[in-house]
Amino acid sequence: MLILIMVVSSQGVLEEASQAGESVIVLQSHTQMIQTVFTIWNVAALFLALYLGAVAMRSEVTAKTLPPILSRPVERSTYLAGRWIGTLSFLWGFELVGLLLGLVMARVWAVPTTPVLWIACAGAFVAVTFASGLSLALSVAVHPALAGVLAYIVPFLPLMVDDATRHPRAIVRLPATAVYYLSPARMPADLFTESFDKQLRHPAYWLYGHVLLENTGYVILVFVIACIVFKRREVQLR
Amino acid sequence: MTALAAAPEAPVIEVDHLAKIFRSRFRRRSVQAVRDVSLSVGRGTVMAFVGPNGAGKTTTIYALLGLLRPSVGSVRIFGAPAGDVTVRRRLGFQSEIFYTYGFKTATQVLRFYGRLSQMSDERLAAAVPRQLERLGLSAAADRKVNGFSKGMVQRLGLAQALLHEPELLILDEPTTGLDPEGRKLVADIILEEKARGTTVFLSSHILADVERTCDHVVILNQGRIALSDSMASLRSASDEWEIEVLAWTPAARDALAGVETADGAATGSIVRCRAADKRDVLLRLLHADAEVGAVRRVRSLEDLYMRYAGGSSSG
Repeated sequence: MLILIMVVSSQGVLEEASQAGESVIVLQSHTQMIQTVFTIWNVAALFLALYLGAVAMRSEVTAKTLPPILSRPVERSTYLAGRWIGTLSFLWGFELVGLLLGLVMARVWAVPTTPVLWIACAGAFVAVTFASGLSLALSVAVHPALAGVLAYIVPFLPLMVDDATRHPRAIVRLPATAVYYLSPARMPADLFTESFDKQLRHPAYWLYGHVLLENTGYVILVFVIACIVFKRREVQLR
Repeated sequence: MTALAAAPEAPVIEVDHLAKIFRSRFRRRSVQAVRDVSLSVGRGTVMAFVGPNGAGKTTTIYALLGLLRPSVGSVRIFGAPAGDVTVRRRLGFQSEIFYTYGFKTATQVLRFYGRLSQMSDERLAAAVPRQLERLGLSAAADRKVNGFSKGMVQRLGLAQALLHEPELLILDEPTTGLDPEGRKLVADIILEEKARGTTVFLSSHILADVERTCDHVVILNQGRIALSDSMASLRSASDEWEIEVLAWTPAARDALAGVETADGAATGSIVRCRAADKRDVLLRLLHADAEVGAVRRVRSLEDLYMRYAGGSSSG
């Protein structure tokens, strides 16, 4: 709705600017609008992923639908993976709608894009996969609200401990360094911004791909650990 | 039916000194829900597990399912640890209130649980309508569960437990929310399953149904077994009888004057006497033209329940 209001309300002004020959201004406005669409959609998808991942298990506990399932010959890891896949199928669908909307807008308004856009789109899918998987995995061990908050914070850990990794005292430096290397990789640039730049500031496609792969591997590893914990621990039934 | 891994004479359920302690976060408080419970359920037995609310029945059932881990002791089903996938393949479980996905139809719910039990499409195609019919839900097969009454949901819960023809049925208060007709249906199904050789572990408050269907009774009170005995033994151990007298005659009153009866006087409509005196009392009443109604054993399961677990309900 926010996106629709933004697009419709600015169309009249941009139409007039276009008729007046201000094509550069129109192109910049359209580019900004598309970037905003991607940003709003991705932020919404991220928080949706954090929420749905965190409550995926808890909702079954609250609804008391867990005992009839876990009394069946179903491995707990299979159940947990099923919950994640179910959540992901919705999130990927949601993400796809937003990305298609942005891509259609770029096409209709003839906004030039760079190949980074496709990596940015892949990154959006990885982001929701990461957020939902991490919050679901953490919710096995901690309260869903805390799981959601932690899953949100984890990607920022490298930034948070960056200074501490250079601290002169080892008691600060070593844990910070450990946290730094145990944290997921951070994308060195905002790919959706770069997707519309004429001149790429960081045209390191291999690096972007590496970060996406590493984060996918990271969340899968955390999820496997969560499955092991879930298998060993008692089911919370209340 | 799957072949038994354990020997046929081996108990289906073996609970050995089970104790379960729930600890709060940071272990500030602890509650011991189950204390030193040991029991053994043989193949084809219908075991009743009765006790007041908070006695530890559901905790024990969740330990049987492997959903809760014993703090002390062990639980083995079919000779394997509780919760083992091979065990879960062979058991059916109905919770006290069957919570499921309301947006699904009855058929979809059963197919969902059937698939979780690794039933093939062919088996499901035959089993789903059969169980719906058995539980009187055929007319509601394509209705969403959201629109079901409480009793219908409970019957659907029993249908899902029976769907894959398990060798062991664990039923936690299966008659909760059911009308008398539904209760009778459940009791009949338990008897049918017993005849089929299914082992049934039944937690229930409906003692009349327990008396009708069960071979063995365990009364649990405050987490401990207060009584464990076979129904046959409980029946034979009964010593008191009730004779209902529908119409008295003066001669009947005189006839019972010298008889020691439990209520002391033959003025009420019920005469209580010991088993040894029952025949004599009956003959005297009949010879004196009194109209005799029912003759029944006084010591019912309800009496035993009240003796061993009465007045300790926490719910």
